[in-house]
Amino acid sequence: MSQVPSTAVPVSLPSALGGALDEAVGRRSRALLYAARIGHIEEARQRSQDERLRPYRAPELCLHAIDAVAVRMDLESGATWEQARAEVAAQAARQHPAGSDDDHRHVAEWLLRQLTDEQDAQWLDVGADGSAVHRTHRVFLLYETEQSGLHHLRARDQAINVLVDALDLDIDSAQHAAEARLEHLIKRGRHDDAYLAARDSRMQSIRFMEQVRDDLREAERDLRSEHWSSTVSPRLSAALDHIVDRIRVEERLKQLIDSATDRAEEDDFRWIPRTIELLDECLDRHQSLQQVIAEARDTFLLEQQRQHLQPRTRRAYAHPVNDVLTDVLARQCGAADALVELVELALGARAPRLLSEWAGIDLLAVEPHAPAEHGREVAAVELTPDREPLLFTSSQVAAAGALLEQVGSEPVALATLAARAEDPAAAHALALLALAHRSPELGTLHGQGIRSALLAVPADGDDALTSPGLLLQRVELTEPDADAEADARDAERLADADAARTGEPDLVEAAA
Amino acid sequence: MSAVAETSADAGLLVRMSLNARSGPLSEEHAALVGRYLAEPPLRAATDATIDGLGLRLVHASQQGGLLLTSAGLDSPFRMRLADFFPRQTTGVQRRMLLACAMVASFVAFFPRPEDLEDTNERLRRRDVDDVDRLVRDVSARLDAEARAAGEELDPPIDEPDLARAWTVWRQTSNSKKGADGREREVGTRQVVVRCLDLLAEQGLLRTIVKGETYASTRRMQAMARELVGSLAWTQVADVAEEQTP
Repeated sequence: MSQVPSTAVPVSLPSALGGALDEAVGRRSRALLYAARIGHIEEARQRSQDERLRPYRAPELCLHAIDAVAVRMDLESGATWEQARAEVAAQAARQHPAGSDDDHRHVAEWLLRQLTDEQDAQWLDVGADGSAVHRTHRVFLLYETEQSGLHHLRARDQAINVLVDALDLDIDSAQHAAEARLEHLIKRGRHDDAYLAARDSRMQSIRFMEQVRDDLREAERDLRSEHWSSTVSPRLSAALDHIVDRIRVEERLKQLIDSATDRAEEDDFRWIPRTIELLDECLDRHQSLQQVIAEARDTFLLEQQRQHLQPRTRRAYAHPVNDVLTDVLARQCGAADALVELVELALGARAPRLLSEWAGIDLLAVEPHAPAEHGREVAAVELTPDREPLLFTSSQVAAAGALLEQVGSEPVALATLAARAEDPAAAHALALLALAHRSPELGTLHGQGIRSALLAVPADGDDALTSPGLLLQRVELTEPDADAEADARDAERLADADAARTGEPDLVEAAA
Repeated sequence: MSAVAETSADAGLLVRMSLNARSGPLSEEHAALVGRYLAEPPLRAATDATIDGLGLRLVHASQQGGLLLTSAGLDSPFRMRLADFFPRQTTGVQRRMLLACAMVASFVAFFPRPEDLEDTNERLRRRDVDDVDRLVRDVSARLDAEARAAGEELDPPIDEPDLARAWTVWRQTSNSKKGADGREREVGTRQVVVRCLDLLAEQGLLRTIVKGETYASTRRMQAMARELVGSLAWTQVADVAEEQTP
């Protein structure tokens, strides 16, 4: 891991007081940044305007969160965000039993966001000439990652270090120390303390796993850039040695506990099974790691033989915020279209769908063709008659008129008249002509000097439903004398009564 | 089927599955095809040819994430057109600029440092809508201060909206959730960002944690962000080169 800065020079022992900066102090101060981050989170909680965060204490919750994430980690997967949040919420509920589940979840979510957020912190390093160099270190305790399309949280090596209360310890030695402590405690029969030592040992094994995971990725990258030698990388072979060592020691420790059980007292049996459980867990982890490293080696060699992974040049990327976003925002709006095109390419591809709603509008909004220079070709127009052909021939109309002329002062039913027509069409024409004589303007006719008018009046008992038809009668319009006036009034009364009718007698039927 | 036809069919199937793939584990059949793509040169050649012929481009290929494709060229049938998704946002040049900035900011907010773009960096982030808006406003405030210090004229002539600088447009657009009359704003920067993030989530580049609020990045998005940052940096270089050649 990156515990030791590669730029570090072999420092002289801190000879005289104030003689030189102690390199180990610098390294430990960097390790402290991770513990300090937890303090910062507590400060952020106190400063926060959020009332709901008030009743909780962040440092304990942080440690629980890191713990919950770390123990679920293996090489391929780990706790999901939701699992970790549930775990932290459960602890939050213990801190503040009066709060609602919603509040607990809220503080848990806030805390995980804080733990995964990064912050730049400063520390003092020793320069080549022993002078102080300010360096910036990016601190975050947990991170979310994606493996095979699944997302989970991982704890950083340094975060676990905080949990085991250690500053900048080499994992290999730390694990040796934890095991030696465990062995010593078991031999002395102090099983309660042995359990705590076993917990430390487990955390070291998780730290170690995280380191191996990083090494595997490193090896993969080396392979791509063709720095891969024909053997497994030195770090991985060292890791393999370490694992074989651990497995041996862990098995011996288990035997030791077995034999110590004989001398154990009643009280110790609360701790012994738990200690054994932890040791089993470590053993499992180390065995699977051993397998993974062995397999990885084969895979890498095989892939290299196949020459699938092209050598990749490491690119130096532009700074996304300082270069790219700043430049984009500084552009003038005229550059919008070029920018939109670039952005569209970064959205990925989408299979064209038939007629999405906007595609449909595009189709409708196709521009009409511009007219050609010399006008368009004139199309030969085929004209069609714009109305129906006439219903009646002129002879039919004339025949119908003649029939109407025959009507005298004797009333004749339209039906009777129609019966004299030659064919149904002529009868239809007759009926239409007869209609024109319903309620004529007798006064006007008289004024025009017409002295004889044909009147069409409804037959007696006409109810406009059964349509017995019209009666036709010719009336004489005489000079206004008493009788004639009375006659004319009669005729007008007849006509008015007729006009008042709203129903239209079915003439065709009447005609038939 | 002949061996060649079979390979072509597999290549077509792989392209089809890649186009439909979203974030999440690959199906068994899909993973097997991707494995063969990485291992068998004939299938690889056939797939690459299919991708090329369809007007697509391979952005990234890995066993875990499969093939990540994007459209190649402006006339590709697979091209995503922003105007299709933002019909009202693309009417004026200033609105288009606002939209393009929101999209770029959506990518950059999840990958704010150069090392975030590296393939070996597997750290993903969660971001709120307000984080994205705040990022743009911070950068805009800096640009504004610089321009004012330099005594630059920032108001464009009224008949030339093209000359307005993008950051001034962003600063002039409200980011409040509600308008003065209590109704949801339609064209606030916040709303534009939400719709950008939703579109990215629909494309399988983001995961929606709380719709309209919180989103999380994916490895697919990392590969796309790499592309976008690369191409934007490239146009920057090209612009400078153009300015220098008379």
